[in-house]
Amino acid sequence: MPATTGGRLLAATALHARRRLALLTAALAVRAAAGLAVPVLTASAVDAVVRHGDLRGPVAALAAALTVGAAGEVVGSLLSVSVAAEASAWLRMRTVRHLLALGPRTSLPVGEAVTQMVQAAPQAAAFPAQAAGTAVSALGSAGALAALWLTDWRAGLVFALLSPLSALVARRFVTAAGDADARYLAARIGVVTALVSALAGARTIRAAGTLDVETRRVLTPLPELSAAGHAIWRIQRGAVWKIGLLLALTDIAVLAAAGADVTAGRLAPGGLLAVYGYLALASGLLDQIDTVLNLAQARAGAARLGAVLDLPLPVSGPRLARPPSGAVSLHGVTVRRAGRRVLDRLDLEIPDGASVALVGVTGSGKTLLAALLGRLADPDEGEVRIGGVPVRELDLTTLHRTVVYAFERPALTGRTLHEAILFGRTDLPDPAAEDAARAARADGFIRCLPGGYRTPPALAPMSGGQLQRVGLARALARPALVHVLDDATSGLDTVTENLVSRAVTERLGDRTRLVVTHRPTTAACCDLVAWLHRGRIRALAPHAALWADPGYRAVFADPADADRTDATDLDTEQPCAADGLRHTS
Amino acid sequence: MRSRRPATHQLTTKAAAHGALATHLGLSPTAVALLADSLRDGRRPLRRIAALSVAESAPALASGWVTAVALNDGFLRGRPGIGLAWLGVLAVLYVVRAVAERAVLTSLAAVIEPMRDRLTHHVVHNTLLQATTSDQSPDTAGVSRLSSQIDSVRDLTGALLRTARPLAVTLIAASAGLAALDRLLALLVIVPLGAAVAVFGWSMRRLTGLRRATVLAAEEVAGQSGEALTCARDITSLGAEEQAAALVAERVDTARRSLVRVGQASALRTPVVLVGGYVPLLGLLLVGGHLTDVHAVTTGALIGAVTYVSGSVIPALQLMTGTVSGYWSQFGVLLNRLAEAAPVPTPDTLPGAPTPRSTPRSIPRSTPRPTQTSGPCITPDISVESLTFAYGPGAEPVLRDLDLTIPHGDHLAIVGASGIGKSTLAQLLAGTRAPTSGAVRVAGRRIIDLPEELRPGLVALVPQEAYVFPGTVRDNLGYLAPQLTDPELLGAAEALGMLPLLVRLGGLDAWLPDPVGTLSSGERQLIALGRTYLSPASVVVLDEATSHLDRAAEGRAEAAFQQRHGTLVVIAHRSSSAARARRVLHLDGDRATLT
Repeated sequence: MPATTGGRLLAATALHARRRLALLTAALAVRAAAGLAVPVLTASAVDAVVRHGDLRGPVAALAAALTVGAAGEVVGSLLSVSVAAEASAWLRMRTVRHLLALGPRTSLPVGEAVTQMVQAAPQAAAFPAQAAGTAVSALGSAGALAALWLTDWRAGLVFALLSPLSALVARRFVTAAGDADARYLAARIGVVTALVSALAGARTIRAAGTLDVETRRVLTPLPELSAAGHAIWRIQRGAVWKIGLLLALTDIAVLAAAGADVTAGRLAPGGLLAVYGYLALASGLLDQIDTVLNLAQARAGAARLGAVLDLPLPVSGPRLARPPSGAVSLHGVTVRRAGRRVLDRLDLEIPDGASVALVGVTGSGKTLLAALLGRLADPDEGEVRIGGVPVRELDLTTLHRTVVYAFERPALTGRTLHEAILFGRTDLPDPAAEDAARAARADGFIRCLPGGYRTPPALAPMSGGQLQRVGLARALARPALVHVLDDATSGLDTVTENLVSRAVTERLGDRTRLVVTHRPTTAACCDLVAWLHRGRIRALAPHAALWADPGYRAVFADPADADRTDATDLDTEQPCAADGLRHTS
Repeated sequence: MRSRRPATHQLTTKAAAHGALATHLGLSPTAVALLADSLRDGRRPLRRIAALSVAESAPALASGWVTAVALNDGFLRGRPGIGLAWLGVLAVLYVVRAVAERAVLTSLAAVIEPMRDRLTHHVVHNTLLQATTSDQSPDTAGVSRLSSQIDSVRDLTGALLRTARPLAVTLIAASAGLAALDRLLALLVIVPLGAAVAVFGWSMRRLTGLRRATVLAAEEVAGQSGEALTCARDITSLGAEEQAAALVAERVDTARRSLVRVGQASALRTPVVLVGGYVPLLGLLLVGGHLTDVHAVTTGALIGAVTYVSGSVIPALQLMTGTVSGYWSQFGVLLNRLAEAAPVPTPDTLPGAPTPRSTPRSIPRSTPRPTQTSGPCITPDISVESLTFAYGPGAEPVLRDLDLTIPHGDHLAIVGASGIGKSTLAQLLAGTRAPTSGAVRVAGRRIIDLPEELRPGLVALVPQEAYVFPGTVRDNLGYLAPQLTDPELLGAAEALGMLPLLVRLGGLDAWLPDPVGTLSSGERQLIALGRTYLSPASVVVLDEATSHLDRAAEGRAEAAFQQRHGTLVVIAHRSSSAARARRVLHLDGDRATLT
């Protein structure tokens, strides 16, 4: 129930800032009370003038009310900003921490998640201060209405009779404008959609030199946008003057009633000013409509955040100690995706310290299987153990220091490349990054960058292969029991791949390695090959023993993967070009 | 548009004169230029709005004065009829104001709607220009943000013209009304009011700067959390959630602090209202009381003056320091951001100016059709000379000293691992990317130097991501050669094996409202191939352009291109595709071998 989560979230936000919220409410109440005193004090000062009486008392009282009101306003506005800013930061971090803990388990698109955090959080965060402000202002306006009645009940009656008319016209206007707004929005989305689709074809447009044609196409909905815009103006033209005139005429009618009372001696001349002042304050009730709309927006924001925070997190296991060995076993593992059993009661045993290539056609679930080891995904059934310990029982931090990954397309984060390589392991010594980069053959080009290791990843121009080598360095820098290389050298040229493979063997020779690959040469260099076929391990044997099987060879001829292999080298048996990944002992 | 260029210059010069004030209030010079450009059709309605402002200000001008007379001559003298009559005059003035308000809205629409149109045109053109000329992948979130920023500028311009303008008029009218009532009383009000307004104007620049900082800080939060969430898999696998959260927390905290600073700066509004509105009120009461004692000022005049201050000046000040200053600083921030994202056209790049990009439509008409032999003056052999390309000045080159000759009519396949630079080479060959050093020459001319209107007629590049736009099948197929006849279009469809697709879609006139949603990747690739097949270009570069077709369909499409006249370069996706080529270029690291 996202609605209740949203409600709870708003309550928690208010509770988080309860002290300042109480102060804020007090400050706003002081300001409202002072504001209510001002018209009557002005009136008494003016009457003192008219009666040629002593001015000092009434003017001093007025000055005091104005000063206290101003002080309340300053304190109130400072507090309301700081309450909202604090709450917004708190909600943002709560959401980010939740999303980070979810990691790759959420299907929420990044853009949407960021929007929730950046836009919905401030909306929800504004709620406590806004609610306090709205409540106090509404009370203030009601107080002004009461004061108007008390000052001159005839004037109060006239106001009470006439002001609902303006409210009625305003409401009709809001309804009519809603339809025109929707039409306008649709046309605007038309422009954005056309622009986004043209951006997707940027390379085609560049090659075809059709920039102006595309600009015209994207702007096709512009006349409709303009027509909808003019319709909105027409509706405003029909309503705005009526509202303004009604409000002004209400004022005049109230003043006329008060003026008649002045003539009859029922009201002092200054009282006319008091009536005028309370009239303005009481009209503030109309403005509350906007504020109530804002409150609705805050609740909508909270509901959106609540929906994110409702996504369940993976549960960390209790065991803090590392598993005794790097032996990996998968037992009866089933994973369903979109109703299909991608892995189907799969069993696999990897001895401690062995290097195992994981091969299979595209879409057979190699990456998914690899993800189970470090709990980047959890199986629906079955169990994954490392060194005999079920991975679910391991503390997540322990697990992530037991199993490390290098990916086909590593995503680097951190302020510098150095930080990106050691990301999450600030406890490792600084030289570990450069040491690992040398092993992954990334040191050379990193040093060529303008900022060297200090270059921010986003500003480092890297090819796919270079990025893979940094990703590999990130994995090699971390001591672990199991290394998963998920297609992590697919973008390297053959010479570099041999060099990198040799370095990996040197560093990780005694560690368990699971190497997801599409290249027969890479498979040939591992102790064993696990052949994944239709959700099961079809064979676990050395590459040379499997190569005779045409079905096995077909795995590497998968057309969709041809660009990752050397297109011409499929017909001969693949020997291990480098002594590569094979167990050194 | 062309005929208006002198007018724009005039307006730009004028804007430069006004620019000083606007810059002082927080607008950057480029934002001022953008504003001047977008308002260039709105000068006449703006003048009409200014004239109507006078009528709108009538009640503000008269309210205090009428109250004074109504009290002095009417209500206080026991003649309520006269008092009511004067209030009736005020009512008539309010009716005048309502009529003027109604008319202002017509003129506002005539300013604001064309302004939005011009801004939209400008931003769309610039976004496309940047996307087609830069390497960075287009940021679609940024695009929708730009679009909502345009609308915010539209709304804010309307809101400012509706609130800020009457506000200024009210302040001036109230001051004038006061002066008409009593010079001395007027002085008591105008001096502190002027000082307060001046201080506030001065503080606006700082406030706009601070608001801009909050917008940038929010974008930083979005950027950093976007990075963290894009890297979610990696961060989880590294167990680095804490460190990633700490990086976001830094940005979030900066955003929090910048919001608090804006709050502190805008708290200045209270003292401004105090000095500009309440101090005059107290002054009127103290000094005015003394003056009525000596009968220098009538009671009615004093009450009238107090009415001006509490009824017009104080509400106007509150509006100015609250709502209007908020509108203005948002307006300034957004306009500055828009001007950065889409720089205003200088006289050389104005739409309509003779830039090479503005006449691409003329190419296909002036170049020969594919069925004819290519132009007699051009023998489009391609020669690649010491071609080197690196993504940045410090980056390892992706291609180094590549030499290659592709004679006219050749069929070359390029193979190599992913990420090795095949697409880069395709773009260098097509002239859509400039080499770091070396050159690609077509018919002896550096392709990068060819005029934009000539190049697409010579070389066609089909990228992997096929671009099919919302429109008819005919529009899409004839994109590069709009003059072709139906039999020619159908002939190409037949050759490429896309007749079944045409039948399924409903023929050449079938409308494709959402090609990405309704067509498969392979179908879109077929349409892009058909379009290129029909283009007049004599060199075709297919950059994995058949990656979503099955083997047979790919074979048929490539065979069709082999039958077509001219040179074919294929970034090969499958070994079968390489096997069909006359020659194969292997890319491995920065080395290349030709077999």
